[in-house]
Amino acid sequence: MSLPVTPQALITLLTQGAALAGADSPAFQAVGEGLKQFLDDREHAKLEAVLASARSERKAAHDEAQSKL
Amino acid sequence: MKRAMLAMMGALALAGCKTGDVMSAGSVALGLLPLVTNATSKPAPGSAAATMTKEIFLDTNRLYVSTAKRISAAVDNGRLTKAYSPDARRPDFCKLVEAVLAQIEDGDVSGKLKRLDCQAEKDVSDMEDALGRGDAVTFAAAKGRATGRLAEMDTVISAAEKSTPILVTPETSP
Repeated sequence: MSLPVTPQALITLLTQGAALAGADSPAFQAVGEGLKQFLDDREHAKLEAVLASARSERKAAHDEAQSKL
Repeated sequence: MKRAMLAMMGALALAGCKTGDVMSAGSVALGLLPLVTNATSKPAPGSAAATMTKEIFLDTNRLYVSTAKRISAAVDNGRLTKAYSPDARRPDFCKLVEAVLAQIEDGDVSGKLKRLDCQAEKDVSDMEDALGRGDAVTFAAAKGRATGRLAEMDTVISAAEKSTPILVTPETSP
C-alpha cells in the first residue's frame, strides 16, 4: 500500500533528520547510503520488469517467425 | 537517531514516491544527489556509454518484434514460403547459425531470412545483456549489427509483401 507523501513532506522529514543527526555525521551518511540503496533497488526492479516484458515479446515473435519459415 | 533514520526510510517506502521526485527534491535539498544513482542514467556526453540507454534498447526490440511479425504475416498470406534448405528445417537451426555452421542453399530466400532472424534476435539479446552489465561498447556493437540485419530483413520482407501471393495447398498425408 502506498500513502500519498509529497516531495515537500519528504524534504521536511529529511531536513529534520539532518538537523537531528547533523548532516556530516556518520549516522546521516548511513541514511544517505540507505537512501541510495533503496532508490537503486527500486530503479533496478523497475528496469528488470521492463526488460522482462520486452524479452518475452521478442521471444514470442521470434519463435513464431521461426516456426513459420 | 535510529528513530530518525527509520522514519525517513519508512516514509519513502510507504510513499511509493517516484524516484525522480526524491532525487529532484529531497536528495538535492540535502546534498545527497551524488549518492543517488539511476540504473539508466546518461553518462557524460562524448563517452562511449552515451549511446547506451534503455530507450535505445526498447526501440530496437520493438523494431525486431514488428519485423518478426511481418515475417509471420507474409507466410500466412502466401507471400513467403517455408525455407527448404535442410539445415533451416532443423529445430536447432539458430544454434547452427550462431556456430556459423548453417548451410543455406542458393535461392532459398526464406532460409536466408530465417538465418537473419536468428542473428537479429541474438543481437537484440546481446544488447539486453550488455545493458544489464553496463557494457556500452558491447551494447553499441550489438546495436550496429541488429540495425544492419533488420534493414536487410526489411528489404527481403518488403519485396515479398509486394509480390503475388503463392497458392498454398494444405499438406495431405499419404
